[in-house]
Amino acid sequence: MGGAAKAVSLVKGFEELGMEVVIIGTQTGDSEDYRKISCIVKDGTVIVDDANPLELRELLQKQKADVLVAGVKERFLAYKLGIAFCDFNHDRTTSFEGYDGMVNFAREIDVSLNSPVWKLPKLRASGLGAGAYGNKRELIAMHESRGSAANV
Amino acid sequence: MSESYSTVNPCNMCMPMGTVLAFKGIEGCMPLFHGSQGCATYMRLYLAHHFREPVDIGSSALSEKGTVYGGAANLKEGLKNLIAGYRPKAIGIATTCLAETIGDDIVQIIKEFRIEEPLASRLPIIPVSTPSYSGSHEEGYAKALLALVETLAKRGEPNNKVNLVIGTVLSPADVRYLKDMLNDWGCSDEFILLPDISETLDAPLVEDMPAIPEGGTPLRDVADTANSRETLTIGGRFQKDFAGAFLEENFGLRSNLLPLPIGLEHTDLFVSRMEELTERRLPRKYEAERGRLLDTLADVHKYLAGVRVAVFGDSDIVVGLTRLLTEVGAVPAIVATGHSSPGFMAEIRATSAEPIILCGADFTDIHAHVGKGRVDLLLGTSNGKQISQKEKIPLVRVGLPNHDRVGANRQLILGYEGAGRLLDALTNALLEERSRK
Repeated sequence: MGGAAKAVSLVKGFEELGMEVVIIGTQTGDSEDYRKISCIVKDGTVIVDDANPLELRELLQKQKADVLVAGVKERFLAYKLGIAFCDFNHDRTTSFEGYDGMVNFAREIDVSLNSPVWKLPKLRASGLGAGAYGNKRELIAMHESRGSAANV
Repeated sequence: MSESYSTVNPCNMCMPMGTVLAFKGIEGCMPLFHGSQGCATYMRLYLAHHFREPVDIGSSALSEKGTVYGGAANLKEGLKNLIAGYRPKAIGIATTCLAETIGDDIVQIIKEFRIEEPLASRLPIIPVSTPSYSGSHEEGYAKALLALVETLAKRGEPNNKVNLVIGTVLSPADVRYLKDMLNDWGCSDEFILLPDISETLDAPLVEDMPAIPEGGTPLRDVADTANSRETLTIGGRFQKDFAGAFLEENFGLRSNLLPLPIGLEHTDLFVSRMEELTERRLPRKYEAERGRLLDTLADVHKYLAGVRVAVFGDSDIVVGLTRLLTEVGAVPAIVATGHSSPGFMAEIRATSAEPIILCGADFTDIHAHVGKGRVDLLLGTSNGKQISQKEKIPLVRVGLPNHDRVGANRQLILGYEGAGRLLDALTNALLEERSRK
C-alpha cells in the first residue's frame, strides 16, 4: 500500500527475497499505474485501489498475507491480525534504495516476520476441567520442550 | 562463576537483609539483629532508601564486651527495649556474622528470656540463623520464611486453604496485584498469602502513625499454614531451605513450586495452576489484560527485536525477565545473579542458548562482560548505574535495590499488566537513547 512507484518497486524486491506478492494496491495510483502493476504481478494477485480498513482486513485474511507493507495507519491493523509489518511511509528511518537499501528492506521484513511474538499462544491453556487438563499438559510440555531445544 | 578471589560491588545483599523483608510481611512483627549496631543501621538505610519508608530494625548492639563474654545479656536487653517501645505482636531475630562467630545459642537465650520477662512469656519470637559471610539475601529471606512456619505453624482443623508463599522478594505493588487478583477471583479467603509487605513497606501517610505499620500476614494465618491443603510457592526455586518443604514433611500438605508470573508464558502457568486450585475461571479483567499484553508485544516487537540486554538481580526475577526478553525477540546477552545455584544456570540455558550466564557474580564481572560484547540495554537493580554511566548504556531499573529513582514500591512487574509495563519501559529507554543521538 502507498504510492504507485513504491508499489511497483516492491514487487521486484519481494521476488528477490523469494516471497510472493498476494495483494497490491495504492492510494493515489491512476489507470496507467494500474496497467503497469497488472503487467508485473503474477496471476492470482489481488490488485486494489485505495482500500478502506474493512476491505484491507478482508483481503489480508482471504489472501493469507504474512506481512503488510504500508503506513502507520495500517500498522496496528496488521498487528491486531497477527501479521508482520514493514513501514514504507512516514515512520521509516532507513533507506530502501540501492544495494544497501535492499539489505535494510530484507532486514526489516525478517525482523518482523520472524519475531517470536507471532508464535505466542493467542489462547491461554486453561487449568479447568478434564479437557482443559490436557491443555495444561501441553502448556507444561511447551515449557519443557523450549528448554530441551535450547539445551541441544 | 567468578574467577576473581575477591568480590567488588556484589550483585546480592547479605542474609540478615533478606530476613527483614520476610519479617516485615508479618502482622505486628519487628525484626531484631543480634550483632553489632552497624548491621541494623546499614540495612535500615539500604531499605529505607529503596522503599522510601521508615524501616525500623532492632539491634542487640554487641560491643567488645558482649563479643568476648557472649551476647546473651545484650540480646535480652535489646528484646526488652523493643517490646517496651513497639509492643510488637512477634519478633524475628536474625543473627549476624558476629553472633554466629561467637556461637551464641539464640534458642537457649530466648528460653531464658521468656522465664525472666513475663511480658514475653507468650510472645512469638522467631530465631533464624543467618551469618552474612555465607549465602545471600535470597537465602536469608527463604530461611526467615522457613523459620516462621517452623516456629509458628500449629496443627489444627483442616482449613481447606492454599498457602501462597511469595518465595522471592517482590515490590509492595506486586504483592498488592496478587491480592487484588485473589479478590477479583473471589477467593481471597481461600488463600494464605505469606508474607505480605503490600502495606507494611508502602504505608499510607495518616494522622497518627502507628509504631509498627499496619498490615502483613496475620499471625493466626501463619499458624494455620499447617492446616492448608497445599502450598504453592512462587519464586524462591533456587533455595535449599523453604517453608513449603517443611510444611510438606511435617504436616503432609503437598508443596508445589512455580516460577514467578513474569512475562506471558510464566503468567499463563501461574494462572492455569490457580484455575485448578480455585476451580474457577480467570476473571475477565485479567483475560483482557492478557490480550493487551499480546497487543503490546506486537506493538513493540520491532523496537526490541535483536536488542542485546544485560540482566542482573535476584535469581527468580532474572529468570522471569530473561523469559520476557525472549518472548518479544530481544536477546538476553548477559544474565547475572549474585546468588550461586546450578538450578539457575540450567533454567536460563533452557530459556535461551544466547546469554553468558554469571552465577555468584559481582558488578566487576558483569562490567567486564558488558565491555567485551555489544550490549544495548541494562535491566536490573540500580547497582548497575556505574556500568550505565561508564559505558553509556541505558539502565531500566527493576528489583531491589533501586536507590536513585523513586517509585520502587509502586513498580509492578508481575502478571500480564506488569509484563506490559516492563515492555513499555524497555522500549522507551531505547527511544529516549535514540532521540539523544
